[in-house]
This record gives sequence, structure tokens and C-alpha cells, in this order.
Amino acid sequence: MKKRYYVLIFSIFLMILTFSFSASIAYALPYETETSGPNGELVPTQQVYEPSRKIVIPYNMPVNEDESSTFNAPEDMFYDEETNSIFIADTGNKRVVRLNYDGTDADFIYYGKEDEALIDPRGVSCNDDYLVVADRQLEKVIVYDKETLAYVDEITRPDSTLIGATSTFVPTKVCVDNRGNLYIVSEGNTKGVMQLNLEGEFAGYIGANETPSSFLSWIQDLFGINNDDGLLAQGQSVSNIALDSNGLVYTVTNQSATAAVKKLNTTGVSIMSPSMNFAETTQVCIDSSGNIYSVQNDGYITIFDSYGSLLFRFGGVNNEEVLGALKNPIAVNVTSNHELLVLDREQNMVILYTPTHFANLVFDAVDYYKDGLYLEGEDAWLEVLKYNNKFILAYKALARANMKKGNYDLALEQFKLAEDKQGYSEAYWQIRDTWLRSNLIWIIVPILVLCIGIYVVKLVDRKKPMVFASIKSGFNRANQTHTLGDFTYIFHYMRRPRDATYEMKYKGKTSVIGATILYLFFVVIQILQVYLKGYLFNNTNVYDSNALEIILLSTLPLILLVICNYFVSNVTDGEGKFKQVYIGMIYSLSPYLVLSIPIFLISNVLTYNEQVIYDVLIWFTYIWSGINIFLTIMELHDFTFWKAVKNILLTIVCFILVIAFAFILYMLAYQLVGYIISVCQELAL
Amino acid sequence: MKFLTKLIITIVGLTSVSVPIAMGGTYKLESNQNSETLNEETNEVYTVTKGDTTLKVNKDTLYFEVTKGNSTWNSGKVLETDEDVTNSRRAFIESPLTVYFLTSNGGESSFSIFDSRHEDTTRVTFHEESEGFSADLRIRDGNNANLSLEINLTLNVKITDDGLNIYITDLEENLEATNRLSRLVIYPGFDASYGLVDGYALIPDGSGAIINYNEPTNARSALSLTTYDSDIGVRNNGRTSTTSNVLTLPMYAVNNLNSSYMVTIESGSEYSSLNSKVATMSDNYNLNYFSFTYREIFYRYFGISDSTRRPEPQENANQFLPNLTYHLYDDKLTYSEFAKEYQDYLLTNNLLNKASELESSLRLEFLMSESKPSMFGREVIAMTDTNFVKKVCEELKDEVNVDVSLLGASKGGYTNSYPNNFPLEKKTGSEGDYKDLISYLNSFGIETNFIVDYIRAFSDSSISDKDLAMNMSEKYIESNDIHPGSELIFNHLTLNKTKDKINGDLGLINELNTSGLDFTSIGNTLYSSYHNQVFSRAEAIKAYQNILGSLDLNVNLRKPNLYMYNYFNDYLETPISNSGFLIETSSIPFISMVLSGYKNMYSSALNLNYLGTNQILNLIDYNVNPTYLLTKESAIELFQTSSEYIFSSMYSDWKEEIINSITLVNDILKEVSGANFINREEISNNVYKNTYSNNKEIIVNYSDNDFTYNGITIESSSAEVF
Repeated sequence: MKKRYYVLIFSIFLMILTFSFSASIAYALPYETETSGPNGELVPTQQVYEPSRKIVIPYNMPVNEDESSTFNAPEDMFYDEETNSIFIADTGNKRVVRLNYDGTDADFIYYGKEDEALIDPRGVSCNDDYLVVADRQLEKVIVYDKETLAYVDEITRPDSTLIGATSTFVPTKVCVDNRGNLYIVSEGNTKGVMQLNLEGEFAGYIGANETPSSFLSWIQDLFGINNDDGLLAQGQSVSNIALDSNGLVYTVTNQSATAAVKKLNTTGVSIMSPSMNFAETTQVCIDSSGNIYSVQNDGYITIFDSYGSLLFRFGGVNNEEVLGALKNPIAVNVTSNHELLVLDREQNMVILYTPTHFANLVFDAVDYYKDGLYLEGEDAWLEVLKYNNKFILAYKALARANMKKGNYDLALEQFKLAEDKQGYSEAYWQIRDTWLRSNLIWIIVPILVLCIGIYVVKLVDRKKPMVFASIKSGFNRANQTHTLGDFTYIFHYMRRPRDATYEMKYKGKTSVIGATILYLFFVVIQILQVYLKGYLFNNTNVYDSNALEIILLSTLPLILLVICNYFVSNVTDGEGKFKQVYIGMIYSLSPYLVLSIPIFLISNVLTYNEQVIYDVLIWFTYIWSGINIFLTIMELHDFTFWKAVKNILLTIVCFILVIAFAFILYMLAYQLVGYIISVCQELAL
Repeated sequence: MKFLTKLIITIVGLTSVSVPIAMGGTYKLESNQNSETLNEETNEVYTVTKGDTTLKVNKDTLYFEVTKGNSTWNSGKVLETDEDVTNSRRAFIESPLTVYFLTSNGGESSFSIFDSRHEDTTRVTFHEESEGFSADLRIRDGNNANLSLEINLTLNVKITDDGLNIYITDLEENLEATNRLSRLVIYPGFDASYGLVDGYALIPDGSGAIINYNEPTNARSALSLTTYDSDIGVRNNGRTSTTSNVLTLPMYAVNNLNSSYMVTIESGSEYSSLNSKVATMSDNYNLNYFSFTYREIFYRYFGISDSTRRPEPQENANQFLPNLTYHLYDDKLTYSEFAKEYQDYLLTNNLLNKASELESSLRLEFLMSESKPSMFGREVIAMTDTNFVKKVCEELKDEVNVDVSLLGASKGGYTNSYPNNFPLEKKTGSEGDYKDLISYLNSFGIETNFIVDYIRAFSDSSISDKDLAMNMSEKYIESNDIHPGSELIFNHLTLNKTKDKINGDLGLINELNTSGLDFTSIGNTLYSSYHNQVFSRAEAIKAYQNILGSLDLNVNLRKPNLYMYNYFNDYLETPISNSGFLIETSSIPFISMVLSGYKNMYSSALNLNYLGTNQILNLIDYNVNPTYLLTKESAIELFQTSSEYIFSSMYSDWKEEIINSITLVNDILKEVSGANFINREEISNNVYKNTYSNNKEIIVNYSDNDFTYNGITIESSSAEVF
């Protein structure tokens, strides 16, 4: 050890001399960092990691002439905090390299049992005592002493019936915990990660990916077909694994469309996947707080908290050879200081990323949040917000703290910024509850006064009709004017749609103008709902919405339906005229036209606890309007029940065909114009 | 035994400047400098001397050696012992000229004259000159029936007071030939060293970068940087990179063994690219050279949706003649000395003037308003008002010199207003309010500038199509916003429109009595246009110089290119690092050293890229003043706007940080305000001593340990001025 110490001193001295210009100055970062922002969108944030240096084999290390002093397509890396060493599966050079953290010293492992050469080392891992290496072509996991790198043992395919007769043992990744449990990823094995002990005894499979739902899997389930032969649909095989400080296993399934990363419980069942799935993930590592650090093939580094919420994402495709720009990151490790070591397979080096002040702030704050220490973490989150006003998780944590402190108004505002509707609902419930307790009397009294007033008015009207006669006659006169009459007709339509249709059809009740006004009112409702709906029940906001878009999307289908229905009805002997279909269609929607705005307003005083009220009301208007349409069509065209059903179905088919036809026509016209332009351009040259 | 081996290797490493290192048979410590090989007794060699400089040239191959004092530089020579180099690489390094040409289908090929495979293609007529030589070159590939390329030019090499001047005259191209000249590379192997040697190259990437030659690199490909960035008038693909810096200075310098040289471009810089490679990339030579572009490939689009495109060579060649000066030094120059030499060069050639006022100050940018899409069109959001700007300045003016710049003050908010920079957005204050603000700040000596852009137009702005520059593909030139997350697309104005817009706004600008204008892109964006108004990059440079030169206002420019160095006061967004290319070993404050004492330098907004104390030390180290982008309202208001990249700007959040940082930065930098930054050296691990012409020294301690200098302890992560 003493000799090694001297060498280290000399090597550091050498480095200082050869680096005549220190690399202490930060480089311009070759990437931007994003975090989860409003609307679930990724938004820019402060930089969280700086690439501080590359770690490679010191170029003057005493390797033999025929051996390379650079990595060659390395496949795996393990950082051992205890010895401050980095173990790298230098696959292309058929060896394992141990580097010290400073990158000034290196040791090499070329052989296993009885000097059997490593051929294809793909995975490395350590526990307190041992280094384990997975060699794909040797089909072995080889155990070494971590300190001396001396060969200890090798593990071959377990001799167990549980492993499956057809299952092969092609270890590509390996993890070992301090209890001596080995977790091995065997290439192509869809049964999951193999769990063994250091003696090589097979304990079982964990973390198998589910078979994707498909017609084949349905057949398979239906007939209970055993899929050992892999003839039918199979789950993807796990591509990588990691352990956290509690010994829980995380699996990585590269190219998984649903859950590339899964956290398994002690029984091997998936208990958590990050909120955002990045299919290109190649490896993950977990820090002592449970934060998940992952790297993706496309050059990204993504960090989630222990609940799987996205904290940061940086990197990405960069064709330039810049320090910190990853080409093909294959492995990631994290130190206790949140420093990141990333192994790049294409660039043949390890890049060390150091966290910025902002990253450390967030990690500290996340620790409080994870432990439910909302009040204790308040200052930390406020500091985080100072550096990024759009850090959603900070608002969520602060809102929780304010809920604890009883600052519901502030919590409400912060839940809104955090887009945590459940939290918003809880805060609003508290605010409403408090308000109701102190103001209940101001609700009950006006309602009582109103009820009594109506009762009194009705009583007076019954006893002395002359008292309100002038008002009533005035109302009736107004009702007979076209505009108001057309409008109030919708109440008649709501109560008696068939009678109203009949009167419209044969007695000329209502007019095209009145219907057109209602169409406009329908459009206004579509626009107003953006403003009037309560936050909890509104999925859009003013800035997401465009009036023209709303107008087109709300009126065009309606008008097209009118046209289609008229066309279909004409062909199927319907009696209704176009004008009548036009009027009938909008009047059928009277329940929606009358009730929607009150419902939107009511939604402002509801929480998720009363969501059923909102849902029932809104569906009530939809169903009522739907029934009205059906009855209107029956009456308008003088159809029987089944003929009306047929008419509606044909209308829908016609509607779809018109859209498809319009699309095809557009494409053809587009191609034709494009062709003509191309010909003209060619001729002009 | 293992220990002994390591020890020997380590000692060998220590003495790596003088002893060969066996590196798995790959690297050798050798140099091909300082060894004269031309025998002047033979007829083929022509020798000419001027002052202490002697030039010897082989009349057939045009290989030359130039001697100044005790040092000799050659024009490019492959070691006789080097058996690994391929014939084409040998020809490239040794030939005075490598010609690149475009084929009709858009491919590019090249050959080096005197390459054995092309030895019949070039005819040389050598002329002896009193100060050097010139050679008429007739480069002809193919025969009369099938002529693929024919170029005639004169290559001139002259001894000057600085060293050598190499330039091309009488360039002619036969357009009957099937191929077209695309690029020229002149003496790429000049003073090329071999393998791992004690030397370095200095390139002006970002703040300046050093490429050490004494250690291997992990970079695989040579670095190629286009001077003043690529021409978006040729290819409609915007910036080639949003992360790396643009090469703003057409120069590089090299230190090899006991001599040094610096190359500057006198003519043709707007069509040049700097190429740098080190040993282990394609061959074992360390090379730096400029290539000059005459034609590029552009895409011709067909159809309604541009679904079909065809690569085609640029029709007319760029009109310029390359002219390079090789400044030769019979000594090993440090990068500080190179900076001084380059500064002298700029001053001598009237390429750099002194700002009207040199001061150390804090620059506060205020985002006044922004617009975001809403239900009915766009909604303007007032982020700051004039009263708030006044209030902030009142709070800070006693702490530090403050300069104010207003962004997004134009009607309609920041987004969607360019190229309309005036009139002003009423939601942020009336015209009278702005006048009051400017007048009030002026009374405290605070400059108020408007941040403007007169060459870019937001793609959905109301500018007339005929005022937009068009590229070779007959499309409106487009570029992306450089800000992260932004999806903004800009079009670019014609030169006439730029001039008209500025002139049109001058009345109001003068009426407002503003101190100056901060131009965001006129100093760093250079493009040609091929339709509407036709102009080249060279013409654009002249036009921009005329426009800015005629303004009776303070002009401040963001990352300006060299040709603008006579036309601005404040250098905005000064780079404080290089781009971090793997080939680069370290970052140096080259630009800061060149400009200190002549220009005020300001950083990019620190609050948008906050990296803590090291960043503040970096500013002190590089003599760059801090900038903050502030608003009255929270940046969350900017969500769903094109300024989403601003994630933290509320003044109340940053007030404390600003006061802390300016206390540290300003207290030190005001001591060296107006002085030249003459030397920088690392006096201990991660401790730098910066020396200024007023005899002040700044010690910047980046290390984790305290450092004692002149009996005074400089704490870890801090700086002191002496």
C-alpha cells in the first residue's frame, strides 16, 4: 500500500505539471436542463450538473504493448464508495479495469478461474467484500476479492429445476448485495432477474415484465397455453438492474413503451415506476435518499425523486465532441455527494458531473418532502423557488406545509401553481368549510326569504289576480315578439320536444333567426365554459384556448350533422325540410343550452368530494339533449322508433364519410398543386 | 517490480518535454521544427532576407523555411521516419495548396497540388521577389474534352516586419469545367509538430481555449469552426449548434518548442473556417489552419411542401482573395503574451478602439413585457413598469454603478414585436413615464439602454415579405431562437430594411434621450441574401459598420464579431469559458485580455445560469461585470410565452444575491477599471494571479484551501486585489 501511495503522489505531481492550464474554470455547458413544469410540460430550469472532468485510464499506465491504454466499448461500471474506486467492464478489451476516483491509477483483471481469460465481460458489481463480473460468452459470473482483485469463485448455470428447462444462462448484468444475494440479468430471459446466493444456489426469478396485451396474449390466456417455448407473446426481457441502499431491486427494460424502470419490493413485485417513461433508458442508480438517476441511449440523464416524480432531465443528442455531451451513456453511478459518474460507451470514458448549488438545494428539499417533513422543509423549498419560480414540486411541498399550518388560502394558490388538483380540492374544502361555518346564516336567510317571497307572490296572485296582471300581460306581450319568443320556446322544447317539434313543423313556431341565435349561443357557451368552469373541473385555460378553434370545432360538426341528417332523411323518405332540421337540431339541445351555464357556475363551489354532483348534472343535460334529438328526428321526419334509430346511424355513417371524403379531396388537391408547382419549378431552371 | 515500473514511467512523464515516451508504440516525442533542410546551394532554392528574417524556398515544390533569430518555421513537412502517414495526408501537409471542389451532384472532393497522384495537374511559374516570392499556379484536372477543374492563381509569400504575409491574387476559375472550386487551404502543415510535444495551440473559441500537445486526447475528429458562424443565407438550417460558441476572431496562435507564431486573416475572414487537430487524429501531426470557402452546397426545393430537395453547388463563387499574416516570435509565448500581441495587432490595424467610457458596473436588464397566446389573439403581460425600474435603481445605486437595459419595452411585448422596437408598450408606462425614468436615472449617472434587434423579425410578425432576406434556396432565411425551450423562429431583414427601421426609430430614440442601444444580433449574425435584396457577407459587414458608425448613441453589442470592434462600447454576454470541446485542454480569458482597457465587458444574465461562487470568481478572473435579467412579477407569469426560458427573474428573489455578488465583483474590478489585463498565471493549484497595467494584481483562489499571498490570506473560493 505504501508503494501505491508513492506512485499516487508522483502521478498527481505529474498531472499538475502536465496540466499547465488548470481545468478549474467551468465550461459552457453543452446542454440545457429541464424540469417538470406547468401542464406537465418540461420547462427549462437552472443547470443542475456541470461536467467537471473525464476519467480515463492514465495514458502512461504500464500496460503491455499489445494492450490498449484506452477503453474499448465498455459496457458497465460500478462505483465503490468504500474504496473510492471505479470498476469498469472494459468489454472490447476483454478485461475489467479498476480506476481510482481521481483517474490517476488503474488495475486490470484479465483472467478468471485457472487463468481462464475473460472474453466478454458485460457487468460488474461490488459489495463490501467481493467484486462480481458477468461474462456473457463464458456464461459465468466470476467472483474476485475486491481489494486484491484475486480470483475467488465462479458461478455457472444453477443446477435447479426452477430455472426452467429451456432457460439459458447468459449473464450480461449483475448486482450483489451485502447479504450475498446475486441478481443476474441473463440475456433473452423473459422470466425476469435471476436471484442466486454467492454459492450459486438459485432462489428464483423476480421482476419479470408482463406480457403485453395483444390478441395473441388473449388467446394464450383464454386457453391457458404454457408459453415456455416462447411461441406466443412474451414480456420483454430485463436489460439492466440496480440495487438501492435498502437492497431493493430496480429493473431496467430498454425500449419498454410503458415502464422502462421499475422498483421491486422484497417479493419481486413492481411497486413503482417513474411518472415519465423514457424508453431509451439503459441504466439507473439510486442514492441514499431513494432518488433515481437514469441514463438513456439518446444522451440524456434523467433524475426522479423516490416517488418517481421527474426532478431534472439534461443532455440529449449533440453531435459535437464536447465534454459532458453524451453519445451513448451505458452506465451511471452516484456518489454520496450527488456527483454523477457516467460511462459513455462510444466516447470510451467516464464523465464526472458535479451538482450545482441549485441541485443540492433541491436534493435537500426533496429529502424533507420524502419524509413528510413539510414544515421543516419549507425554507429549503422557498430557496428552490427563488432559483426557479416554476418548480412545480416546490409549490406542492409548500402547499402541504401551509395546509399543516392552516394557511388554506395560500395552500390553495400553491396547489393551483403545482397543478395538484387533489390538493387544491382539499384546500378548497377547508376554505369552504370555514366560510360556511361563519356565513351559513347568510345563505339560509336569502333562500328562506326567496321561498317565502315566491310563496307570497303566488298566494297574492291566486287571491288577487289583478295585482300582477299588468306584469303578466307585459311578459306575454314580450313573449310574442319573435326574438324573445324564439328564445323562450326552448323551455317548451325541453318539456315537450315532440309537441314543440310538431308546432315548429306545422305551425311555424320559432324561426331560422331564432335558431341561428341559439347556434351562436351554443358557440358562446363553448367559449364561456373556459372562463366559467371551476378550476377542478376545467381541463383547459384561457391560454390554451383559441376562440377561432373553438368556434370551428363546435359549429362545423353540428352543421355537418344537420346536412347529413337532411341528406339521409331525404333518401329515406323523411318529411323534414332542411330549415326544420336546422331549427330542430339546435332546439333539441335546449337542456344543454339552458343548464350548462348554471352547472359551470355551480362547479366553482364544488370539490372533488362532490364531483358526483357535477358529473350527474352534466351527464343529465347530455342525455336529455340526446333524447330530444331522437324524438325530434322521429317527429320531424315522421319516423317510427326503429326507423329513427336507423336514420341516426346512417347520419353518423354519412358524417364519417363526408369527413373522409373531404380529407381525401384535400390530399388529392394538395398533391396536384404540388405536382404542378414542381413541374413549373423544373421548367424555370 | 510493478512499483518500479510505475515509478519509471512517472519520472519519464515528468521529463516528457525532452525524452521520447513509448506509448504502446503510438506516440513519440519528436518535432520537425528548427531543422533546416533546404540547401541554398542548389538551383531549386531561392533565398531572400529582410531584416532578421530569412526565407528559403524550393522553387519546384514551394516548400519554404523561414528563419527569424534562432528559430525556423517550415511550411509543412512530414518526418522522413514517419511511415504511418498515408500519401494523401503527406500531400496535404506538405502541399502549399489543397483544392476542394464540388461535383455537379453536390459531392465534395479534394486534391493537394504536388500530390503524386495529381502531379501532372499543376504547373508552377516561380517569380523571385525582393521580399519573398510569388508563384503562378495553373491547376488543371482533365483534358479539353473532359475538363473537370481549372483554376489559375498566384500564391504570394512575403517577408514583413511581423513575419510572413501569405496571400492569393489573380484567382481565376474556368467555368467550362464540370466541377466547381469550393474551398482552398493554404500551407495547412505550417510548423506542424509531431506526436506529443511540449507546445500548445490557442484558438479563440468562446473566451479562448488552449489545446495542449503534450497529452493524448479523447476527441476523435478534428475541430472545425466557421468564423462568424455558418452563413444561414446558404443553407436554411439556422445555427449549427446552440451550445458551442461562435468563432468571433479570425486568428489562432501556436507555441512549439522554442518558438511561437500567430496567424491572423487580413482578407477573407468572413469565408474562413478554423481547423485544429492534434496527433492521433488521422495522422500524428498537430495542425492548425484556415480553410477558405468559395462555394457551398445548397438545397433546391421542389413541390408544395418542400418534400423533395436536391443538393446543388452554389452558382457564383464568393468574391474574395485570402490574405494571411503569420506573426513569428523567436520565443515561447504564453497566452497572455499572445493576447498582448493580438491587441497590438488590432490597434495597429485600426481594428479596435477605446470605449467612450470605461467603468466597472452592474448591468440590470429588465424584461418589461411579454405576450402570450390567449382566447382572442395575444395578450400583453406587463412584467415590469417604469416605476419599478426606478425603485430598483434607487435601492442599488448607492451600492454600485448601475447600467439599465430595457427588454420588451416595445408595443405588444417582447415576443412578436421584432423588428418593431418602438413605440413603447403602454402597459409598462407611457412615453412620458419612460422619459421621466431615463431623465431620473441620468441624473444619477445611470445609463438607460433599450435592447433592440433590427435584423431579425419574428416569423409571424407583420413585416412585408419583400423586406425579408432570402437564401439560395429561394426561401426566407430562418433561424431558431437560441434560448432553451424556445420554439421561436426568426426571419431576417434585408440590409435596406434594417437601415430604414433604425432611421425610422431615431426620432423617438432621441426624444426619449436614451443613453444607447443594446443590439442583440447585428454584431454577431452575418448572412448573405440572394433574393429581394441581394448582398454578400462582405457587403453585410460594410453595411452594418456604416449603420452603427452613423449612430450618435452608445452602441452595445452581444458577442460581437471582430469587424464590429470599432463600433461599440459594451461587450455583452462576454464568454467566460470555451465550448468544452474534448480537443480543448483548458479555458483562458483571451478575449478579456485583448479587450481589457478598451471595452466594458458584461456577462450573460447570471440568474438564468446560476452556478454559485465559482461563477462569481470566474467573472473576477476574466474581468467581466455581472448582468442580471430582472422583472417585477414572478417568472411563472411567463409560462406559455416565448420567454419560458426565464425561470427566475423576480427582483425580490435576487436582491440579496445581487448585492452580495456585486460587493465581491465590483469592489475588485473597479480597481482595474480601464487598465490593460497584461498577465495571468496559475501560481498554485487553482489559484490565479492576474496582473493589470496599473500595477494592480488580482488573486483568484478557486481551490478548496486558503492561500497566502504577500502575507495576506485569501480564503478558499474568494479573490483579493493587491
